[in-house]
Amino acid sequence: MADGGVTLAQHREIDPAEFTLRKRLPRKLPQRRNDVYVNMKTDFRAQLARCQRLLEGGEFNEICIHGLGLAINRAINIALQLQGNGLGALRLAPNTSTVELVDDLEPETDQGEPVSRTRNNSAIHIKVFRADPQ
Amino acid sequence: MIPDQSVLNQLKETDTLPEENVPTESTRPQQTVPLEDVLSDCTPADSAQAATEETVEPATEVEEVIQDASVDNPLEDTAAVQPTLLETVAEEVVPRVAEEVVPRVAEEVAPRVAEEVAPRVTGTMAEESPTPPDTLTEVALGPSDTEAEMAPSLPEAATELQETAEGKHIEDETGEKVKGETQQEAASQEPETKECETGEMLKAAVTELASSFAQARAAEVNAMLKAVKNKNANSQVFQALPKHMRRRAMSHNIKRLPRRLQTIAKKEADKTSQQKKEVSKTKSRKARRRHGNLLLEFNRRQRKNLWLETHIWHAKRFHMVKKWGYCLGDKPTAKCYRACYRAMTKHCLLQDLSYQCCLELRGAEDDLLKALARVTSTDMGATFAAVACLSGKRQGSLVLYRADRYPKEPLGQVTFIWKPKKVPSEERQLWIWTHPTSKQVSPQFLSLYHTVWVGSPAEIPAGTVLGLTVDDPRLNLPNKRSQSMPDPSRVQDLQIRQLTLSGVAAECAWSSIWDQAVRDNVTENKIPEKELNHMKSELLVPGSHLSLGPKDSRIPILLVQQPGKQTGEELSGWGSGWDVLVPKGWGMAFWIPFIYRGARAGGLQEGLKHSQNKGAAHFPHDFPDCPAGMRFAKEQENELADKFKRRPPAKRPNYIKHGSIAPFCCPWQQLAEEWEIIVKDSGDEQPAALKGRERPLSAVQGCEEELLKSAESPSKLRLGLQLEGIEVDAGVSVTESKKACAEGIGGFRVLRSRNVLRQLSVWCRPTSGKGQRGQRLVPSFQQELTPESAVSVSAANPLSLVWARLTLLKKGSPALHAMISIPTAEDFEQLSKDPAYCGPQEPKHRDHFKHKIKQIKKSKKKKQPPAEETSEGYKTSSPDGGVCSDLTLGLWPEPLPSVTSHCSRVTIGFVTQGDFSLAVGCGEALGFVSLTGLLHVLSRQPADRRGLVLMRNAASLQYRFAKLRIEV
Repeated sequence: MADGGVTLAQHREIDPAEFTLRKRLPRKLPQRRNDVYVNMKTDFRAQLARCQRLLEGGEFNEICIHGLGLAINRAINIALQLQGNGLGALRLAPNTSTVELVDDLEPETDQGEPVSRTRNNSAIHIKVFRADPQ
Repeated sequence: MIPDQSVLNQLKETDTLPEENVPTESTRPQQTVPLEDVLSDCTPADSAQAATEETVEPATEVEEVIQDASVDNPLEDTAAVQPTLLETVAEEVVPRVAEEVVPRVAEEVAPRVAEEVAPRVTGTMAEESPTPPDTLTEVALGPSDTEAEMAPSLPEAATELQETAEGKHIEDETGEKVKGETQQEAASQEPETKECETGEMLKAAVTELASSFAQARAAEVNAMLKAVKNKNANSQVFQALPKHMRRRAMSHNIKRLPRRLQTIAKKEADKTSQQKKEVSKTKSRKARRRHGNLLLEFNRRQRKNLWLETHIWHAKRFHMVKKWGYCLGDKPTAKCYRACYRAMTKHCLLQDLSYQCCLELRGAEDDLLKALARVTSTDMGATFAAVACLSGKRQGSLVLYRADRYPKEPLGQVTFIWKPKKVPSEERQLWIWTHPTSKQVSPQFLSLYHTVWVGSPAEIPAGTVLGLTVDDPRLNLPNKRSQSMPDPSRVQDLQIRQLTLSGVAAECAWSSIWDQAVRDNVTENKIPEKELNHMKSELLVPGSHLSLGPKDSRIPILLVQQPGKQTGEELSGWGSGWDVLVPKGWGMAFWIPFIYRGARAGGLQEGLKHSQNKGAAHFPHDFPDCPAGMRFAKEQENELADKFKRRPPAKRPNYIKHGSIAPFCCPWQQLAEEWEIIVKDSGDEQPAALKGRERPLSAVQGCEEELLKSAESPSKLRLGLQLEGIEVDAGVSVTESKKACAEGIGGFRVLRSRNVLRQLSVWCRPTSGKGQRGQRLVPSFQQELTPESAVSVSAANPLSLVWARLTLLKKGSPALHAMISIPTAEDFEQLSKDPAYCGPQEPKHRDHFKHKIKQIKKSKKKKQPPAEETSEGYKTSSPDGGVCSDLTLGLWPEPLPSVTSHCSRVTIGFVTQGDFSLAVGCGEALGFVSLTGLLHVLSRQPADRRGLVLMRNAASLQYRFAKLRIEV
């Protein structure tokens, strides 16, 4: 932990009356057109249809489905549905990773110093690609 | 003493500046005298601090006096008088920022209108002698019997106007202003109507001359004839002819005119042609476009409303509006609503915010903080003294109140930056940015202030301040306009991690832009555009990079991170960006490169949309309790009402039939008061026994249940309620609002206490039901929602409004001034039965005034006094009282009936901003609800439906379900 981070023991002591927790979004990385970031807000069928369209459009032979935290389950679900609909033509290559997220603690009083702390969350990246006919 | 004298001079200058054309005796002395008193109080102390340098250009009262006050402090220990002085100064000064300065504009206008009108009317009234002046009004005011009927109304008007001219009623001068204007209209309409009719009347007069009737009118006819002969100063002789004798060709061929008029017409024609020639001679287009002349012309045109540095660029591409003493771009002329939205979300939207006013405060830290602590409150969260802000690392944002008056009398929203300190015990410097409506228009501004929303600046801590020194941005302009994209390969992960976690170090926040000498130097030594272009053209390889070497200017700038959407759970960090502060004079030099790098420029409308999507309060719009907000609401109401009245009655909504009492403004005061009465009433009895009461005021409360019960006769009941409402509430609200006015406060206030808001925000969330995954536990310091706790909260904050955000569940797009109402149990039942259920319908109301208007119209036609008729409104005296009210088809006349119980669903609030939100993909609105009403609703709603309300547009009968959230 660098100077901005706080240890876990200190986390517990933070009084919600003195600080407001504000979660920052994860860092945005450049995105290709065949990257699909799965979220929990969009309808599941819409996200599935989007992946299907990408694969069947003929433009891409592979797409990458990313899911973070709660959306991991959904990302796996989408990938498996795609494979099931693909009549055995599709293969999956899942990868897991850890994403570092930043939380800000905004002081409610004049005395408090603003604090940023990190926390880790798991993520999944599933590559869905056409299996070679050979 | 010398600096003080100059301060005084500057103040005088700024004082006289807006009033130079009309010296209004009534307003001037009242405003200047106390100010000079304050200053003269300060002078003895000032001699001790001759060392303090003169402040920066923005020569505003506040800044100077606060500075003085803060320097006074060393003497405070010795002299017992000083603390009181400091207090008085703080008290005097800070409110003046908004209060005295803002109304001045309005005050200037009102008496001026009154003064101009009053003498004219009274003048013609007084001279009833047979020698008529040149105006045709005299004809109407001849000493005859019929005129005597309408005459009394005019003297009344005259006396009223005289009163206003004397400035007796300054406190409600806005009302007076309107009155004055209407009277002016009425006065100005008379001559027109008379003029049109002179022809016919002349004919009639000639035929009836023999009759005795005409003999009685001899004086009148004489006057009329005279008036026909002596035509008006600025009308053509052609116009003296009756309409049926006019011919088109007369305008260019004089011989077509009757012979007796030909000579006069010839003279006129000569005169006009001469005038035209003169103008064209001196002002050829070429001459007008010559640089010096052009500059003169520009200076003349911005005498009243200042131009920003980017004005000319904007004027070519934007609809410009004159607002707050500036000429500002409202919205682009191009159709780019969605493009601007995309720029906000994905790229960069640029807005010139240099109209914002900067105040500089200097002094010892403790003194400044002590003075500023009185205008803020720790109840609203961190103040000026917040550790992060005080170190200069962060920008802070606050709502200021009048000294020691929290939670009443807010002044406005400000943002502030402290100059980072290099040496401890150094004199501190503080910049406060305010909206121009809450401050006097100062002719010089410190530095430019652009907002830019780029890439994803949400990755660094909110409000970070970054000081930089940059090269001249004009030197490395791209050849073509292009979009700049960040290069991810150039940055290192470790650095980024460090930056995102701990933010920028305190040293980085320092910039030499804080130093006035540096700023001036940079502004003065700017290489003019012309020279730069000349140098570029002399380059050996055209288009190559121009390097100036030692002559290259280094410009100090300040970057301030804007955090974007912070509240709420979705879209966090939306619309984050950077504010760029540039020294004066460099606005255009930075603006063009921004545009060339792919930024899209937006105007005031885009700024409003941005803050709406961000869920942030926008300054005058969402501060109805500030003086600036009230004035804004008043202006908006007048504007909307005028727009409404311009349409023919058949082509505009009849708001009475829609049950919308106040479609153009939000009667906050009445709303807050009514809810106070309702709850008090239900508190007197048992809260459980709500139903079936006969007392008139509790009918308001019971109406929702009663309405449902008596479904067979809803219209009858509502009628009863309405009539009752008129009698009861008119009495209540009028007396109470008068009382509130007498106390000198607006009465209602907006709740800004962080603790209460957080409590409310938890209460507004449904505690069970689907879609509530990840529901946070209720923190220990907060109470459960019970009727008792609700009552205690509302009792602690009487007459309060809460700012809330509403999201529509299904379709529909909320509009301005939509009503927020309480759904009944039946509505919930319907909703749970049918998932596609949009919401209940309001039954159509009856328009009782339509009949009255028709009657009046008919009686007017019979009597035919044309002077009283205006295009839309009919001035009438209502049958019971002798009160004059303006009846307009489709609008409720004053006084309004009960706002809460007027419709079938009980109203708790109104929307101040509403639209279909492209960011969320559904209708979204920001508005205020009555705190008492909200708590009343929440404590009675089922746990899984908590926070569900109904929303209805003013011009629609359809209610729609919306989710109410309070975000802190």
